[in-house]
Amino acid sequence: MQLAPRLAKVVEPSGQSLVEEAGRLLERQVCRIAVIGQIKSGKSSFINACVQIPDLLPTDVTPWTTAVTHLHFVQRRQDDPAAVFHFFNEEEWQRIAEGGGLLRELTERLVPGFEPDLLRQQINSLRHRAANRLGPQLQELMGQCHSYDSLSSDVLLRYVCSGELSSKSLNPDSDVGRFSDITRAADVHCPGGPFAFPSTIIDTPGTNDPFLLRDEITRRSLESADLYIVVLTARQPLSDADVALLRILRGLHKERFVVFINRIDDLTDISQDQREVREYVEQRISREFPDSRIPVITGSARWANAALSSDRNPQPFDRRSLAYFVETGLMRREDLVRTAQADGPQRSDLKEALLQASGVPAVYKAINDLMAESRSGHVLRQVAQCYAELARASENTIQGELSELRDMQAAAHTTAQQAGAQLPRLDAELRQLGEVAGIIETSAKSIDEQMREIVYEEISRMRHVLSAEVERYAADERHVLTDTLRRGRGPSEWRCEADTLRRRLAQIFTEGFHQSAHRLVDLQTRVSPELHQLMSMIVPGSNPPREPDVRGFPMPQPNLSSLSTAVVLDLDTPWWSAYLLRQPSPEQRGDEVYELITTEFGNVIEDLIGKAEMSLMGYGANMTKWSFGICNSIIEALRRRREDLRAAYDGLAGEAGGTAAPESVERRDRDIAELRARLGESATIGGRLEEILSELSPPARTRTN
Amino acid sequence: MTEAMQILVGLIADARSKLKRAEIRTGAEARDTLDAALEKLQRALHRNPVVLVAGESNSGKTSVANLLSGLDVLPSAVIANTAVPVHLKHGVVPSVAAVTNRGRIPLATLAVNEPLPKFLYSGLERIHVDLPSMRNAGFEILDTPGCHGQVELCEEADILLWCSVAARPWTESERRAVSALPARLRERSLLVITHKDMLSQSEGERVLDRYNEFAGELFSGIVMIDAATRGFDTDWLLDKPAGVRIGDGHRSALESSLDELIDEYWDHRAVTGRRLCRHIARSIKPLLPAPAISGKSAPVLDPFATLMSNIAGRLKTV
Repeated sequence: MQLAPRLAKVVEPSGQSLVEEAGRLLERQVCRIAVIGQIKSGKSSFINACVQIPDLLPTDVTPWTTAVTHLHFVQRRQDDPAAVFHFFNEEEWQRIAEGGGLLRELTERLVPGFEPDLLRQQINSLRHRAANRLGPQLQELMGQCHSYDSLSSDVLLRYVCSGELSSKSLNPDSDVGRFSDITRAADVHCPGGPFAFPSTIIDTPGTNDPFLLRDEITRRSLESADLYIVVLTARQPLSDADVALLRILRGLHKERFVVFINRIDDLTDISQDQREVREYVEQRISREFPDSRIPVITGSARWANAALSSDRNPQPFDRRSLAYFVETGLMRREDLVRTAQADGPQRSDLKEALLQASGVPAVYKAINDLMAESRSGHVLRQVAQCYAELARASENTIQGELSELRDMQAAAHTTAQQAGAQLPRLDAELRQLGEVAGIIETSAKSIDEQMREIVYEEISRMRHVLSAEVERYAADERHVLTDTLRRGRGPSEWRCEADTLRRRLAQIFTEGFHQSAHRLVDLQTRVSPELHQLMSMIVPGSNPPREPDVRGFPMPQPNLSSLSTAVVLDLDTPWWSAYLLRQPSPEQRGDEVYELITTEFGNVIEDLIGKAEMSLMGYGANMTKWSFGICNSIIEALRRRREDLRAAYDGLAGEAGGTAAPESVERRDRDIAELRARLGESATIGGRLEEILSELSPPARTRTN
Repeated sequence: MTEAMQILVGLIADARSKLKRAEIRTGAEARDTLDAALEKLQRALHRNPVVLVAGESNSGKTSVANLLSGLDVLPSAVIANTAVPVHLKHGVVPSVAAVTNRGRIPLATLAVNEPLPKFLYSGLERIHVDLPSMRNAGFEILDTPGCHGQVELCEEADILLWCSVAARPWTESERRAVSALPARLRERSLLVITHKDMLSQSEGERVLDRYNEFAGELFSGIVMIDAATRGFDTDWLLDKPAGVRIGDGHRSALESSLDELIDEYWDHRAVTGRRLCRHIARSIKPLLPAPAISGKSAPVLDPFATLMSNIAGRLKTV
């Protein structure tokens, strides 16, 4: 990214705008990593370990995190505050206070007039507590945000952790959790960061919290991430609630998960149990997500934090952990006896060993691998490739320019007559260039149109196939339901399992999308050689730009989060019973269910298709714009040079038979030197970009869809 | 067994002996039916309470069952793979049997951490363990596999011990599972917070606060235990909010709280038993020739038989 300004200096003006545009795109590219999991899985501890700031996010023995915290890395601009806390505004607050959110909406649709008592109760206590903590301030704070120029854990404590639960032990003077009831989200900027990419790590309140509102907040934040780290706890690995969470995310691309089994230090026999737990989780995941490779990593955030802690007297480890360290060779037995935690090289060895055992480095690696495949990773690659092409192009043109200049040096000694003879040749070349530019422009347009057409065709095809699938499914369900009811079975026996449909839709969508992407890439691969041929005609002798290796970079699929939109069909059995009891005849019920399925999933499909369209169009637009942009910049460079030359020859021809003035020869010498420098620079930039590209390319492994 | 219960059982035994001595004169058939009904009632009232040990996977259920039975017989593993309920009750001779859909199969031993023979897995319904040591316990234990949403076997149980790990204090899925249980069972239920040993004292207090806040209303009491050892350390539980039980120094908090529930169970039984007896007596009265005890005319048999079968039906629900 730092290469962009350097590159901008060496390329032609039209190339510069391209560089700038790509640069802006780069700035927006941030890999968003959401850390999710049940309450008390150790998400906040894990993040602290992950970002290597052990005391960053507050942690406690009770569920402690209340707000969604975004930790931004390498993104802070000059005037950005270090931390911003956003409060609910009046409207959001009201909606929550009225028991808003998905649960309410769904239950309302299915069983009108339903009043979620529990939700209401909790909201009342939340309101009560907020009023207690903030007093009259409460009204003023709504919709506001608090900013801080520097960050300390005290500040975070005030906003993102719950503080004392019961009103009895509520200490009015305590600042802990003071604003937590009304804090919706927090943005925190951190220096450095563990990953090669600009990234945002999102800490979420745990799911499966009986405090339903918090669950709701978490679910809302799930949609926008590129990667997910699912944190499990070793003592209750992948419980049903965890599986439920994974199913919520089922629509998301299944290869963008990392499962981290935290708290292995709680296990009785760490090395053996750890293995068992991992195998169990791997098995269960492969059953849940067949054909996928989800990395499963075991570890302990506590160990990592202990290793990172600068504390001179770290908390002593319990016997089981120590036994494990000795067993795996991380520690020597004699260290246990001596006061091993003293300063010195031995201690730093231990720290390093602890860090390795904690599993955090393994998570880094898994994430870096996954990021390379993510959407932002893809854009980074696109940009890097574009830059590399530009660098190569400018290398070529500069070389051309150099040789022209040398010619001119030579020409300085030629006669005016000879110069005059050169003029028609240059004019012809200029004309030719103009023609080529014209051709390129029209073909760019036509290719753009072709691309649009392909996208349009593909989108309507996908829409058709997907809705057909939903209709087929709905018809089946109608049949099953009416059949069950006719046979006099209780309605409670029937439950619409929308997961099968979801999985099917995801599969169809993925296939469809890949097909569409393939067609686009195909078009592009047909276009680029022609472009290259054209270019080599213009710049003969230059080494032709290498064909972009588009096939190596599969277009990443847009995320399928729309699929995980909860629909009424996801409601628990009791709702269904209540619903089915209200309907009179089996046929009528069947029809209603058919209608329900088609409308609910109709929306889901529209959403999906919209995303696919945006993604395909965006890809195509970028690709054509960039390929043609590069060509344009080359042509422009050539034209400018020809014009220069022409002017020079003109001048020469005007000088009656004389030789060029010595100062102009000197000037040319300077030009040549400058061009040489630029040539060197673009060569190095080009080389560096090639390196980046190879770093960015996804790890070689067989891809499964 | 409580005093009220003992009196009631005595009364029933007395009534039966009177019936045998033909002090109540009815037809032989009717007398037998009544006797059978009373015997059933007697037995039903005698039945030790079944303590259901339930909770999510790896919440320390088996440890609690081991703790109560005083034996380390039940395997406990990190991964919940024991998907079969285990029924522990008193038996003169220690024995283990597998109940399958093909009937009862005696097993040689139930070794700790040894997998069950493979042939058992198909159709295995539960495992019965008879232990002499359960004699003094005064209850039976039903150790359930980790629940998946719905708690099974709650029909058979009289007392609920819901295990929950202190490290993850109270989740929505737990709340849902417990709320779905019959109110009858929740009236006599303990929330057993296990693995307390992982927390410091102040942490334990905070965790307990949370349990009280979110789960207090669902249970009749809360206990916190170590589960791994028998060493209970409840000192710091003194001055705790109502509902949290404390050990009396000699016995563990869990055992004394459970004893209270068992007493409640017997009291409740006695109330039900007395109501049934009154019902039987009231129903018999019009059928017997007046005066009820000494009358000589033959009873009307048919309605009597119907009544008896009704009573038998009601007894089933006790």
